[in-house]
Amino acid sequence: MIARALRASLLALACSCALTCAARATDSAVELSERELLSVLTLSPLAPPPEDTTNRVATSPDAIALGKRLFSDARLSGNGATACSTCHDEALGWADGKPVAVGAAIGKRNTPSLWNAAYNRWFFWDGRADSLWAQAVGPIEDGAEMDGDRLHVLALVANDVELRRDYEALFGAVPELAARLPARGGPLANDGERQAAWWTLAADEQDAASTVLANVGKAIAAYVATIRTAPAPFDRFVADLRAGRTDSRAISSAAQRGLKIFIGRGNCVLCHSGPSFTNFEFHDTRVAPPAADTAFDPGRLAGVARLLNDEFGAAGPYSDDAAGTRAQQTYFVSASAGLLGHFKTPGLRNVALTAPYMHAGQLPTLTAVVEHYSSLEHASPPADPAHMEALIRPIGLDAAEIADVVAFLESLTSDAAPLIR
Amino acid sequence: MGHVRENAYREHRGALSVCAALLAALLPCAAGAQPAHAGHAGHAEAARVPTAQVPTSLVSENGSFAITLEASPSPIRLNEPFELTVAARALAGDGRGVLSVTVDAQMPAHRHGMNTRPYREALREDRFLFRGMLFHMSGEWEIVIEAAQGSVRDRAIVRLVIE
Repeated sequence: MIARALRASLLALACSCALTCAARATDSAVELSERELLSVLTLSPLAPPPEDTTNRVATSPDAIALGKRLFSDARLSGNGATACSTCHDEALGWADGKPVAVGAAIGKRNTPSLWNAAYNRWFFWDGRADSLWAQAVGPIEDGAEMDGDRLHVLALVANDVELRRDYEALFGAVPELAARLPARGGPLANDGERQAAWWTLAADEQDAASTVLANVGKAIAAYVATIRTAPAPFDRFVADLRAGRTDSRAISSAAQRGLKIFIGRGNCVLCHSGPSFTNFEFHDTRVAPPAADTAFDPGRLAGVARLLNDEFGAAGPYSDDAAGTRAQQTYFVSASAGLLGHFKTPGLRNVALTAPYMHAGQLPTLTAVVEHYSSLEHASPPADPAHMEALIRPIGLDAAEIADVVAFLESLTSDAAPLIR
Repeated sequence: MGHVRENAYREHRGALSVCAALLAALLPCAAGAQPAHAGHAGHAEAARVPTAQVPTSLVSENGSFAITLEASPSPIRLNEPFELTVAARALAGDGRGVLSVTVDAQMPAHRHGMNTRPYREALREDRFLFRGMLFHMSGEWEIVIEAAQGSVRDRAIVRLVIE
């Protein structure tokens, strides 16, 4: 019954859109069919992010405050010079503006923006983590990013009076181990000395240090989950449509034309779906590697292997809900060879603020991204032809149409208030 | 307040999905309708349901099995996990042997399937629960149900349009 009534109202709305078009043909107002209207309505508004039951402090104000401090604390890194905020700079759209991340070393992938990170199902370009806190742990120990290690993190938390106080208020006592353990060591350290130090520890000592690292990740995740986009002009446009204001000028005519391409022959919406403008899954975009001699990046296929062996996974010993929804979705993950060379579909809210684009920052502008999908002129062959995304094929947009799609993408940029806190 | 708004939004989206399915039924060409599977046109076409609502019963392509289906939640929604309960009863053969049922899904126009690997749980000897299914893209999906018992083997394909 509800559907019937809604359908009737949508039919009326679609007819109204058509009349609007006829009346305003001179300024190229855009007509939306009923089918297009239905598609547009699925893209806004953005609901709150899903709950993360694997992190018991995910919404704690104290954890958010601690996480905010840790996010900018370069002491977590091996050389004391790199913090999360080094690459995730608010002024650069919570990314770094570089093609690939530069931390302790030069990485191989683009720094993803943190806008709306809490909405994700999988984390990192290859989805090798299944929670925001597991993601936060990763760069701390990655040799190319912060190059820290978990004994170093344990010592930092144990020896900094304020840090220890705030940590213990959330997670309980810091184990009295730091004084008698090596200052550095971890299973993922990129040098033999630190790895050897780790493997001299007893299992309970390793577990204690890993617990502290996981909790540091949970506090950082609590903070990162607050980095959310405010409504954009596009949201006002959709709100106008819902209210029957079919002559909405909340976004430009160019952006409306771009929207039609986005949900229509561009097929963009098939992957960039829903209010986050992502299906949270993985695809082979066929964008060429940064250089001819760049080593092939297996993407999701390798990510699944790491995900299923991640000690900080949602079903792992440091999760606060090891049998919950996140753990179950990891259990059902496919390790199909068809995932070779696939990378996560990024959300598009505030995308105009986060250049360069694609998993290795290969494309410098949104125009270049749309040109890529329009022509595939410089595209790589499918990573796995047997499992290629058949819908990625040239659609031949002209320059004006490309500009329209870019105008639409720019209409996804949040209004004045940059953050929802 | 946030929960109330979220629930209202989800209900609205649910209504939209139903509405979208109705629209898809009216516009099968626009919905990316595919021809029936070669060689099994009659049964495959009979199983074609251009909606996110899974049919409750169907017969396999060669008439060997009666199959009943139940999706939860229903209708199936884009990018939301769902479970499928499948029961099969042999209509051909001597009925001897262990019944085996498998389920997979694919997007024929995209040439790929799901990013999940459904887990099968036997509820009874003829009834199975498939957990962990997820349609991560809009468009036409085919759920392929294969049943085997003794020397009899057959399949059924359910075509759905997910909006």
